[in-house]
Amino acid sequence: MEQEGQWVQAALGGDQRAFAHLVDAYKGPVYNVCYRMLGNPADAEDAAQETFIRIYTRLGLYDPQLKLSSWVLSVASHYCIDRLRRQHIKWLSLDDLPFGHQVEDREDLPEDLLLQDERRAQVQSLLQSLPAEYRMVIALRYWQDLSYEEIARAVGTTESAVKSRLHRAREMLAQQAIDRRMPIAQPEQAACHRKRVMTDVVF
Amino acid sequence: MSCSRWSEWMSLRLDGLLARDQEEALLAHLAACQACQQQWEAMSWASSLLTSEPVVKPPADFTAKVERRLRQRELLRGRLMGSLKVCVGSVSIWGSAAAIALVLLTTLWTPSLRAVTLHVGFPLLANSVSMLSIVTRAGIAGARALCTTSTALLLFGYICLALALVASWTRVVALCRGKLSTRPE
Repeated sequence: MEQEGQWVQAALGGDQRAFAHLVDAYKGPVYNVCYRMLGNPADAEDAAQETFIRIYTRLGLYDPQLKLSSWVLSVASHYCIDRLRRQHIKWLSLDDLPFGHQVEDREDLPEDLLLQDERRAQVQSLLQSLPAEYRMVIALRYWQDLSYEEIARAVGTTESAVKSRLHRAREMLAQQAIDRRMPIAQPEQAACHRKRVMTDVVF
Repeated sequence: MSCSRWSEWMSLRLDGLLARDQEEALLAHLAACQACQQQWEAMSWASSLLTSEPVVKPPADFTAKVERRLRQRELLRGRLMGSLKVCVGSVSIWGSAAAIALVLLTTLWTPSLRAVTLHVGFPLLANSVSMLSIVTRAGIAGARALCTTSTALLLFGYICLALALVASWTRVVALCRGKLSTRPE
């Protein structure tokens, strides 16, 4: 944390090497959020880079009393939602999405990689069916393992709003799964608690 | 309790935020309500699908790309500031030149002010030269930031014009002074 504070101070003084350390520390969470929000690697990379440019130019607005990770994710989430609004993104139905197209052209891949591709396509298509605000809370909950309070800080809302959005998002995902007749497993198989290990950054 | 309320509890259960008694109540309701049971199965299936999807990693050269983008942005910003300086410098040169020329001509044209003008004209000229020097330096700084041949040539042209202007003022003042000194009282 102290190290991060020093990097922030140095970056505020124009030290781009110090800022590169911050990029290294947070590129994983930021890229991941952008990928889940925008749905493809090219847009995600561009958005993540632009997020860091915004962070660099607005570093003076960062309040050191807050956790840097929350502020960084807040910039990323606002940027992604703004970008989606600007693009007037078309909310695709699951039937419109190119399910498994990437897999069809890669028959030489081992079976587990094919399954992984297929699962990723399923996840992305389900996520794209959600409104941006709901998708954001899902991304922060499932892939950043943030608490309701941390999500609320990142998206600039209240904990009860986060709880409500998560609930609505899960309802919509469940409805999509039923409508598409997806192979719904037994509830006992569902993991209720996240055990994901954060390797890129310590929150 | 309505099914929508049970649905909220399902979401809380997925986050591990349901108390034991609430969880027992939910399970009892699920055993009795087929619609809620179906929703719970779908919700928990979707949740486990998301859980099983790993965190994606950015490309290996991501940080280098951000650094490159930052440098490009700084360069662009420098060029914009350079353009602004050149524009402000140009306007300042011609604006100040026009103002000084107007004052000099007006006072030289007025007989009662002519003598005063010759004494005040030189300080004014000196001031204008100082001003030219300042704005020219600003322009050169701008040109350095721009780093383009065309702008450098444009700036060179402005400087030549400014020097010609100063020379012409000096000549006009010298001529007027000579005429006044040779005129009989």
